[in-house]
Amino acid sequence: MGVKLELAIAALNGAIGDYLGRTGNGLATRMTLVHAGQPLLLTREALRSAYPSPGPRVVLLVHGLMCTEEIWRLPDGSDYGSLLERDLGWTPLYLRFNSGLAILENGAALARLLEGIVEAYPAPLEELALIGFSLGGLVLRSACHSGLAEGHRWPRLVRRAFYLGTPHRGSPLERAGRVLARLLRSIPDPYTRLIGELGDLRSDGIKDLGDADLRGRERRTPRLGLRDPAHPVPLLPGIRHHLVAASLARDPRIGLLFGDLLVPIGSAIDGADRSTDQVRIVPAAGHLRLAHDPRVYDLIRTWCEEETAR
Amino acid sequence: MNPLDHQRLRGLQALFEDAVEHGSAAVERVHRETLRRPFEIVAAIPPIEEPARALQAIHELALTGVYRAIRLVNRWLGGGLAFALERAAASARREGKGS
Repeated sequence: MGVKLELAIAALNGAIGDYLGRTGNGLATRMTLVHAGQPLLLTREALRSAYPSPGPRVVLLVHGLMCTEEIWRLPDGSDYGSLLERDLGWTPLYLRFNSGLAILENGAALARLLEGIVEAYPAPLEELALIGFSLGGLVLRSACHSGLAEGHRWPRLVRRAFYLGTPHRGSPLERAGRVLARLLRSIPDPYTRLIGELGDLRSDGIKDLGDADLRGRERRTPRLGLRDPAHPVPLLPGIRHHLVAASLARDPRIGLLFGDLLVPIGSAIDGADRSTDQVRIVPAAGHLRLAHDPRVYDLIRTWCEEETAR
Repeated sequence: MNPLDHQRLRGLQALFEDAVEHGSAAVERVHRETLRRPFEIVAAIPPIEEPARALQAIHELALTGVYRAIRLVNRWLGGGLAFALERAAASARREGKGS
């Protein structure tokens, strides 16, 4: 019951979380670390109690739209974090947040939370790895910039980031929804206009997925590709960025057409060269599958085993 | 009742109240716009223009009254529920301290 309730609240937050946050509604999820399904206070004592033997390497898992940390659970009850702990000794931290807020807002909040982790972590912290699923990857990307702009210490600890099905170049589904809502509103009929207005109630988080433009108010003027060095939010240099896309089809050529139905492959790999070691396409997998697929874990583990220098 | 449950129940109550408030306003607007057209057509016939306009005014008054009543009852119910939830939370806090 508890897990289902949390999932229902997460879905509600993803759908109208910006409204819940704006109106101070008690159903709005606050950004927090969670441990064993419970919010974890960001104090040295609380972290020590939750992680009696904290390692020098920490991995943070950031879920996607309308999810909780439950999305990471593999059929055997493990997840990428617990497997990295077992195999490589990484300490896993799990984030829960209101995915309906604007990505920029969540990015800034995550940057502050990561600085809090650096402050409160009960052992010397040598490395921080970031894993983001879908919208969570964009939140990570935004947090990196926010942390750098605020002069935080944690961006210096990040050497690798993993983006699983993250729509770096936007989601056509959201863009189609935006066009449909505009079309319905423009029809001079009270009923269709009402349906269009209902469509517009979707959260800022969903709307941000359309263009994946993380620039805030100044967005879309002018239009820039996220890999463009002139873009205020490009992938940060000095971090090894690993991009994983899903393809519903086994055949890579068909996969290029449909991707995982929600995020096209080109968007998930941010237009990067598909032959590079830092890009992988997982065949015969849907979008959600990327968050709990043993093949994806194998990729993450291999990438985590590589030494990185800063 | 723990503080998080209480906060969420209050949130759910507020969300329902908001949904009825904004939903009824949107439906009222659609209702009004939909009715305006037949009244305008009827009022375009000169001999019955005056009675049609009067009927439209009465109808719009009734419409306003009905939707306002819905919103008023909604606010009363919401306020009552919020009060009951606060009382239940306060009682739970007292019991927690007592035990």
